[in-house]
Amino acid sequence: MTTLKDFLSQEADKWHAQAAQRDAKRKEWIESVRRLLGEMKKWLKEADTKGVLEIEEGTISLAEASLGHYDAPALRIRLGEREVRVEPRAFRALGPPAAGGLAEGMVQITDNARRYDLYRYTNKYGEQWFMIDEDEYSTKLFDQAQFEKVVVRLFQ
Amino acid sequence: MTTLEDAWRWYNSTRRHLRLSHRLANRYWDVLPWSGQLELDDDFRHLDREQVKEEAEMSLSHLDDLAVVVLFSVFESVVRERIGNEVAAESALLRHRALKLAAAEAQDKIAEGSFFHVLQPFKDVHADLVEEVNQVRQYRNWVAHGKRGAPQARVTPKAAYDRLGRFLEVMQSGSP
Repeated sequence: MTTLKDFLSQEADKWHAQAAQRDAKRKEWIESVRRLLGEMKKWLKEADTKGVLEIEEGTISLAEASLGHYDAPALRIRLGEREVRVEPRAFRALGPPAAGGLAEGMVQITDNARRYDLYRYTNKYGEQWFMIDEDEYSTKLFDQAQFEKVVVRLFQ
Repeated sequence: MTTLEDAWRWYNSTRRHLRLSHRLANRYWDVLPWSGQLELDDDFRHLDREQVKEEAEMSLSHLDDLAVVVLFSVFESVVRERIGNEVAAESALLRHRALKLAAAEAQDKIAEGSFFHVLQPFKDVHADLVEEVNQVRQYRNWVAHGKRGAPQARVTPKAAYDRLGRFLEVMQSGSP
């Protein structure tokens, strides 16, 4: 029977062998989420000329086979008693076929009932986010116009 | 539910009804015509707005993972049946007892064996698609076994439906 010491030693070898790559991926992913949320905050401030929105920054804890346990940035956007949350869900996610196969990042925008999924791909254009439209299941490049539509849809 | 389309319709209908319940509770509760028939209806008169909202949210929070399990189960059943029928048709033409035995064993594996192995023969031509179907399978397994540990990759019902549907189309076209 394997002893705990032997078991942990084997697990440590596997874990440490991938540490550098895992840490780099995790850092890159968290930075990417931070950039996306930064864009969203900027778009919200541009639209909220009368200062009605309350934006709260926080973190969400995630666990993934490829990255381990980690905390990633998240947003809560409030309009009165209504709330929309923007939360990263996973680094590895099966995205829309139109955008590619396995995405390197998935973020959800939700009001707890309706949900919009964003998928991150890095390609020759650099980093791109694609959104699955919840109503018609179409895939769209995520930008300021899409974000504004989603926020209106969720708050209305 | 016996087809992928049935499962997809079930998921979308269920999701739509839960969202409607949530929206009624969240946005329109106070303007519903409670006076009259609704307040006399035993199913409605004791309803609590927060309870309806919370129950809809709780149901929605589990629906997607459950849908991936359902979609994959239907898909697996369709694939096993279709390949089983194709192999049975070809097995009927075999004459040598060794080949007949091998074909019978193959049919058993197709019907009861690991689904991972059932998909493997398709990998030489459709490697990427088989890999994506395997990712759906792994996620299904993660959900079905109690979500222990962390999943290899997150899969939504839409992502599952797209991949599984494409695989069935490939099978239908006869290209494997």
